Amino acid sequence: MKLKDYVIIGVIVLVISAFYIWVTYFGPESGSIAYVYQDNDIVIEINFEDDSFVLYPQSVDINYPQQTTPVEGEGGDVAFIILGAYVHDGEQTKVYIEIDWDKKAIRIQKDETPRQIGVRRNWYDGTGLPAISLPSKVFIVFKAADDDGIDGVV
Amino acid sequence: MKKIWSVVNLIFFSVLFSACSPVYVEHSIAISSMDTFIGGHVLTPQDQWESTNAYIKDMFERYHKLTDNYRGYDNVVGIYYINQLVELKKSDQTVEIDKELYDLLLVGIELYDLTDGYFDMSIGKIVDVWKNIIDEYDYPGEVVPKEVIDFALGKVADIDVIEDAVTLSTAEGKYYVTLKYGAKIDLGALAKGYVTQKAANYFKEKGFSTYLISGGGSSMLYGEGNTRTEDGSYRTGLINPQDVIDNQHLIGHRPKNYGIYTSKNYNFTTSGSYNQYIVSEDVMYHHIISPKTKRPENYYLTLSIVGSDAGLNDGLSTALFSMPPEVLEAFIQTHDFEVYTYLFNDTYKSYNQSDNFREIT
Repeated sequence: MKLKDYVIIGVIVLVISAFYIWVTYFGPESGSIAYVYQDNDIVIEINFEDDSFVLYPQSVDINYPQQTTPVEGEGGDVAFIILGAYVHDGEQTKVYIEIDWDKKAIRIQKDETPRQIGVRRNWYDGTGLPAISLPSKVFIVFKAADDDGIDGVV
Repeated sequence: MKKIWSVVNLIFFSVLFSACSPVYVEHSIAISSMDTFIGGHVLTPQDQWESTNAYIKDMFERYHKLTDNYRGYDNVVGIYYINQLVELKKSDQTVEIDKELYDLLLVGIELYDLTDGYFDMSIGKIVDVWKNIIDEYDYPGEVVPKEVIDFALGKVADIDVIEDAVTLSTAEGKYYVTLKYGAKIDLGALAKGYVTQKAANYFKEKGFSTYLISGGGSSMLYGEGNTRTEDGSYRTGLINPQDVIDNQHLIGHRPKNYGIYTSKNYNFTTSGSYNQYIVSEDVMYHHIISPKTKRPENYYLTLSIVGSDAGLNDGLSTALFSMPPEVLEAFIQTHDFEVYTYLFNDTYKSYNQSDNFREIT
């Protein structure tokens, strides 16, 4: 092979390596991604690295999730309404979800379930027990952090 | 240029032929069932994920209907139906059940025998009394008046723990359960782990050996081939419960671990009092009820068990949690389980500790 061939192969290897390093080390950090599930489906994906979110239409009603206004003065920066599984007067009830970008936390701000277990959990940042509303079948799950060397905790 | 063309061709054909063998892709497991959230991930070929996911979800839903304690379902002879029938008829009842429920109840009876009654799925009425009281309060560790506890103790005093309350039988290829009057089946300490293990077994049957399943925050179930470790093992952090209690008022506090367990193809299950409890006169009252005393016992803050079967571990960790230390020690000496307890003096005590465990100081 001539020098030119080595240069071409070298450049190809360099480009692939740079791409790999970028994806591996500069992609979104695990632990900064959270998901709001309703039943078995992700309805909101939240990225705390760049304070962004993605909404996925609910199968029961594609008009949800809906963006709404957070409660003033309680830390929420953005809020959504999703339809929960809890039925009242023959209709699925609404669950209000809020995100606080500074705290990197999420809460179930309001729902219509009788015991309000998920609401009472307040802001949740992925530590401790998951934030859930069983009657609404709403679960907030943070992607486990990669950098603590642990795959799971019990 | 010929040589460089050969190199490019080599890369091209390598990629082409590699496409002939299935490419395993990591898929997220997300199932809300059995009053909890089952999460995790599994590596499967792309074209097999949809059917695998559907199968697992259906299985959880099926077992949820069979084991739900609070609600009945059309055309399902489950725990709710059996409990209601016994209460309505006010007498022992024998009911034909599906083999799925029969097999699950069989594990419950085996655990009852194995633990000398420390695992008892028939004390549902007693569990309900404590659960209803604890659920009344908003926060873990809330201080409640003595009268509340006295009320609960009075109620459970009137409920008998019935010996061998659940029996199973078969006849002509059919399966039956007999429940004695006065007992109520509660599979909360067994069903979730049992079904999670069935999900892992299904993965293995299909040849999907790389998986991680989190069963509601108290049970981790792993395969092998973890892409995050050199040897493919999985690492479980054992939460320091005292650290959780001391810092439960802090948002953002990440609980410390007191140890890390590293291995492949294993389950780690923890029973603990620190997440759901109330306090009266400096005594913790939590949701794990001893069938021997009909009340929560406080020998340990957490008790964790390692093994290969999440169903067995689910029931065992619950049973062992209520054993006084001397009973636990004798039990473990006989049965050789690897167990870790976290005590009230902020230290841990292990039984049959293996080299897979590493203490964090």
